[in-house]
Amino acid sequence: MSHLGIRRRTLLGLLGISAATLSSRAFAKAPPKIPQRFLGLWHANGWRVLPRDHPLYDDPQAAMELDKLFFPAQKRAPSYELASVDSPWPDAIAPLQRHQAKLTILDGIANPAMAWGEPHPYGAMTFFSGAEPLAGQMSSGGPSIDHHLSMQNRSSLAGLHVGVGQRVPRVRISHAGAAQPNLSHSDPRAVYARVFAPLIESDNDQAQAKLAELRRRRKSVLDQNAKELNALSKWLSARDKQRLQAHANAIRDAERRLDATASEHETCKRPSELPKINPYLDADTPAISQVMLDLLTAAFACDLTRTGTMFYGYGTGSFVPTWLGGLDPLHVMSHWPHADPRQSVYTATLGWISEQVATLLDRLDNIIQADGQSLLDHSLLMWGSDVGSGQLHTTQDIPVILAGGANGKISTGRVHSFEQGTPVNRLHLTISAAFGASVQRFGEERFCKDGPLRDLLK
Amino acid sequence: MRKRHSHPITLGWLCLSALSLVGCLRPVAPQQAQGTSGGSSTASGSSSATDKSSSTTSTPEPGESSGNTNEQPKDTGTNSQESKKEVTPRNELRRLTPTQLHNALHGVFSKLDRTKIDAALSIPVAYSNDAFANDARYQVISPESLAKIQDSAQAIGDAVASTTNLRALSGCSEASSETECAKALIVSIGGKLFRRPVSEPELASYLAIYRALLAKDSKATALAGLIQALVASPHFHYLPPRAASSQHAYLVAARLSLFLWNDLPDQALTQAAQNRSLLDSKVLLAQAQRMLASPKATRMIRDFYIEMLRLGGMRVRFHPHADRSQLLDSFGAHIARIYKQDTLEALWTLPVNLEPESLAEHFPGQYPGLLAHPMFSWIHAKPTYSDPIARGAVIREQVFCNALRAPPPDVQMLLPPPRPDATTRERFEIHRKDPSCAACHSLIDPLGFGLEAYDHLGQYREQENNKPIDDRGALVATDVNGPFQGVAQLGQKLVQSVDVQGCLAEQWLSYALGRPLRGIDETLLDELRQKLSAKEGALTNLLVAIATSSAMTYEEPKL
Repeated sequence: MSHLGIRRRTLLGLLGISAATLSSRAFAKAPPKIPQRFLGLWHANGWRVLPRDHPLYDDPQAAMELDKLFFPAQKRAPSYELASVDSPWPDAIAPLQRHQAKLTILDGIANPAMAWGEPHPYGAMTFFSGAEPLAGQMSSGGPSIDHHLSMQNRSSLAGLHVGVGQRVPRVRISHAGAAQPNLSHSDPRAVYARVFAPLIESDNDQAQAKLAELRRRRKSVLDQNAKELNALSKWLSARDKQRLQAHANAIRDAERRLDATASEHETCKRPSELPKINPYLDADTPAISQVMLDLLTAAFACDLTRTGTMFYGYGTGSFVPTWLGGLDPLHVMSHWPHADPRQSVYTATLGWISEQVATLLDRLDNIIQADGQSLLDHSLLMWGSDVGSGQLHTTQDIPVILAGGANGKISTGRVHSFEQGTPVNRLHLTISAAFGASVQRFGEERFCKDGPLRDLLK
Repeated sequence: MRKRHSHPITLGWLCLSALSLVGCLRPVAPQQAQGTSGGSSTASGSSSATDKSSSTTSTPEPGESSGNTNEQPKDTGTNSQESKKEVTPRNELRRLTPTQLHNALHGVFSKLDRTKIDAALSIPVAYSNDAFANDARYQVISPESLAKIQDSAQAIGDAVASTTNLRALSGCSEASSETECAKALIVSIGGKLFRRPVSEPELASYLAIYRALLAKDSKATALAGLIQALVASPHFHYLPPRAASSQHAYLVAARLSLFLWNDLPDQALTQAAQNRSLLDSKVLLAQAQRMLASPKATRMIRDFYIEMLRLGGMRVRFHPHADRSQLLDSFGAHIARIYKQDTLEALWTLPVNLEPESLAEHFPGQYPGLLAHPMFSWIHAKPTYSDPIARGAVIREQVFCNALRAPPPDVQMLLPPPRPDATTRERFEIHRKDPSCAACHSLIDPLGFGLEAYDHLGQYREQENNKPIDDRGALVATDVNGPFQGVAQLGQKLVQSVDVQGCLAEQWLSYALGRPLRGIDETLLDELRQKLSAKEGALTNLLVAIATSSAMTYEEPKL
């Protein structure tokens, strides 16, 4: 990582240019308040956690065997403090143990919004939105929580969406609204080009003039677009007007973000060089993961974005963990029966994913903000999946791991055992409240009727 | 619930694939839906499946959420239909598809290298897997697509300004002033992109943009900014449902060219709009016939069948042997041959002629009809085995226009793993044995089995895993029920089916309107169905009939 000397730099990514240019009037003062960051984390095919009403749970011995695979104290209920666990955590989540004070593990969460669809595609696209997918379409029926939070607190980029190890194109877990997916980047170089390459020196007059010119052009175009939308709307029915409204909102949002600037804080560093990586090569997956974690950390540290999503694997099209000796894709491994002798490779793969998340937590925790708290403390990471048990495609009791505590708004250090089938929508309400963006409903209204999860809010 | 299996942990393999493999998407016909619902619901979970099926006739409108908050209720069914006082207009606000944008910009900036435009344009394709790309419901602008439009417009502005100048581009005379040239440019390029004359206030706004930039920046920058503004304009990207009465002919011309060409009106069509002769049915007919004779129409017809048979978009993937673009070209050539013969018979039974030799060598064997084209069997397959379920479901949904029901939420989608000693067909026997599967899959699987002579790469085969291929199929719940063997006999049945004719008319009309059909379209649809019963010229007649119908000419009442 090289220090950026951010004082004389700003973001051009929004302008879609890569020339070395910069504006003199783009230097806003550092925001008076340290912003909260949100990252939606997600991995494909779940853990090995079955719903508590599953027939297998009728057998206490079998239940214990299963609980051992995921829960820190090898048991799931009642709720308990993570600090009270004196044994090593199960291999699948062992790397997270070093962050136990800043973690919250939720048991009992379900994603009922996806219930009618096949869980792999639909579980992915609805997890962060809690809104039923559009019938037969590859889109959530509403915005995702990361997008909701990004609209409350605008940084120059609306959100950074990255994926590691998916083998299908056009993955969508974040949505700006119904039929408005925010597609994820799988190539780190694309992320770099979009987010960081435009962060550049601005000391020469020519470069400043170039930026000013592009900004003028973009502003006048957006302004003209907005006027024309108004003119168009007089020919439209109420329903068409609503469709046009999404366009108008996007324009207003783009105008506001045009003036957002990067942080001047000294913790803002950008990754120096990107190795040449093939995002679809299994053996390169660990390297891609490390670079993506760097990029995310830096984007947060530089306040280029305050929200994002990141995922490992996707549905039925995921990486093969060749570096762990694996021969099968994640999805295939997740379907192995409990007694399959190859389970150790699957365990190692889940452990590897946990290690990636733990590394991200390390990095965020090492960046100290102006108030002496770490970047992790000012963030909330919400980690979920499409299913609880990949083998049986169960959509009840999908474990959710929270990290960071959102600036002390969310309690940490505990395993919370909620009633089976607690809709993830209630967690979205909780997080909205913790970010000062409270809403009465998020996603489907019928899954919100019991309100936020009060136990989690401090 | 969920207790069909006694020892779930020991069951090795589930039905893991995407929706297509498990089939049963939406209710077939009302009477079919009853049967499937009863057969497949095992316990408490069935009520939500029923909810879903009742809402398929009024699919939720993605555009009804602004995307910024969660406050807007989503239209999920009958309740909101009743509460809606406003009469739904016949035409809806449509956005140009990526294909239409490419075609339009290639035409307007014809002097610019096509690759430059293609590089600059990065508009995301439609998000829907199953609807036509021009379906208004799925064309909502997201912040991401707005950013793409803005970036693309800027890049095109830069590309234009770097290769030419205002004077050359506007074609204004030596004696003209800078302002006059700018005006000429706005009128000519704006007129093409907006598919109507640029109004006085619009001319003034764009001129103001140009002047403001010129006051601070170079001439090239001002030109780039002006082009950028025109290309990003909502008037270019949207086709509104109505216009001022005096401009209605322009709207008809735009609908016609976007339908028949996926492109902007050309000079002759614009002329007919300008002098309003296009509103005369004879002129309209002549224009439609002229346009259908153009290669642009051939390209559009190919694009229609790619979308109708769900061969494009996200489904396109790597073919290990054949050149993908050759396959696509061969598909286009086959469609063109069908339209030359212009009969329903040709549509479903004309043997595929795979050319050139470098493509044909990968595909030995028989390909007797459109559904035997390797594009179809290759795209509708799993990575390592054929997918009779997906094939059957696509034919059911897209060729017969049956809506299939999604599997109920509590269904256990268990399939035996691929076995080296069994055929794909044998693996799916479970669908027949398990009554909860059979209810839906009896509609899908026997149809898809008829295509089993084509493997996951679209190649003809006589054996799978050293066992002979069984491509006997059967049609049930159609107007041409009964057994058939292979694609050749399936094609014969499709030719005889009145349902299939009606479906084709429905698909084309929906494509022309850019939306699913509704009750108000019934009368027109009935007229169109008649066209297809003709022995000769049926396929083109249908297009001419749509192009000269109210779908193109309708003038919405004033708001």
